[in-house]
Amino acid sequence: MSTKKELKILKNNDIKYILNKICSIYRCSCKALLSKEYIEVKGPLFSQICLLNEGERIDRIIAGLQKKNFYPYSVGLPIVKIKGHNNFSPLLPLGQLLVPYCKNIVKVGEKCASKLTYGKAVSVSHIYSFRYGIAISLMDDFIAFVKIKALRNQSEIIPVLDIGLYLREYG
Amino acid sequence: MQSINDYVKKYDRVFVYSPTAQAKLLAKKYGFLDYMVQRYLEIMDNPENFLMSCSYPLKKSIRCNNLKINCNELVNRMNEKGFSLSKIDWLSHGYLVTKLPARPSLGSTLEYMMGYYYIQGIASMIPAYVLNPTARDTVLDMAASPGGKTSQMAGLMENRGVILAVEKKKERIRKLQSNLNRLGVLNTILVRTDVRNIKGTGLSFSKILLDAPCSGEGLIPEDQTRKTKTSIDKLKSFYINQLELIKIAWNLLDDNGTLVYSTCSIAPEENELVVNYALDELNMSVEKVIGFPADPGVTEFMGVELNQDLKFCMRFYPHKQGTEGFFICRLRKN
Repeated sequence: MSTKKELKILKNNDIKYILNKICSIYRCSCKALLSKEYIEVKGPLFSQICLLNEGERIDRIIAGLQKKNFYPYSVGLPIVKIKGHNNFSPLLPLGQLLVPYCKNIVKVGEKCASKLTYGKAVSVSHIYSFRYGIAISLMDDFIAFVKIKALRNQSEIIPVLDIGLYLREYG
Repeated sequence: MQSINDYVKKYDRVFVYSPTAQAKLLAKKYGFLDYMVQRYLEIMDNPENFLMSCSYPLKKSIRCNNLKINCNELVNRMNEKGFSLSKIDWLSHGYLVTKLPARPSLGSTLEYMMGYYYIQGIASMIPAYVLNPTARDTVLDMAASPGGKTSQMAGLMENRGVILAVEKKKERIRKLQSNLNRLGVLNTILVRTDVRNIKGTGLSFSKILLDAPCSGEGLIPEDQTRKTKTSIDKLKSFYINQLELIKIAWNLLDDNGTLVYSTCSIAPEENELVVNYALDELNMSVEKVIGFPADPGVTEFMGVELNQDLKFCMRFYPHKQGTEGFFICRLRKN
């Protein structure tokens, strides 16, 4: 595999498959997201799909950097990580973007939200009809992508990717 | 144009200190290096007030991230959690934290993780306002990590335009990316390289922020080790690097473009002496900035007279403005 990074401004069709797949997991409508601009930053181990504004201007700067064989470390807001064919996962910044468009929503109070941000599972006395959801606060803020495990008369909410990562990894 | 080497030689005497008895006495009393106190005696009206103020930590401050939340809403939310925020009149998004609860800490609230605010020193919020980037600009942030100023510029640009954020160190660029992601920044390209390498790409920028790597002499209230950390030789190496960086900035700036030079240092060697090079050797001009309660830049120092326009640069001190020690100057390329 090449150790060089490559960049590709993505058209709607390129991103449609991946976003639709993610949206179907959380029962979201992806229409609003599909009209935005994206770039794919391909690295040696994985690629990232990044949301951006002003694709043309960014393209000009990237072309300048490539003249000297520089590739950006990152461009715009990374929202999806691609590890291989059909192997991709959402990144934290996608969470808040999805919240208004999704049905698999798990609303949690402050205490539960705090626990989730420590990467810890919480049990609640509520039965959910789905396995994968998006945990949000009472103020509709994205907290985590979660997995739901059904227990007797209650559910365990297991964080898969939570905003506490920002603190745990980088302080 | 004089070379950087010749310029350094011309002002070499600035780095030769012979501290007076008063400087030695005060240095001993407050635990500073002699040469630092000697220059405080030269450039400050009330140096002992400054020395004393360095023993106390500064009030905490945050910048509301307008890319993600309405600032009034942030104030209300933080109030509900036991924090009191007081708006700083002269900073559009700056707040002093006047009351903190026992838990959570300022850096571990959900609001922090959601990217609704950034913990940032008051003075370090000023350079982005002084540069004032808009959606029309292509901006270069020459030493971007940890991303406070980069994200602030993105906020001022409403996530439009483009920022090229350069950071040399691997560990620091990870932190930078994490912060920009948390704060919802869309308009930034991150590059891990020495900014010297951007020369030769053919790129040029309408606005540049050079928040230069420095001794951090303005951060003594937060980090007491800085009272004795920087030897004169080390200070000189910062100064030479800063001269090189300001010349690179000038090279990469569009004609009539704006450069903001800032440091979290109050050392004239790292500030006025560097900007003096840009004025005298690169033919840049200083622009007067209004709206901030700053002290003027130093125009004479260690018996050396510098460009008089340096008085339009801004200095901030803990004992006067209640901020970290800071220097900011806005320059235009002619």
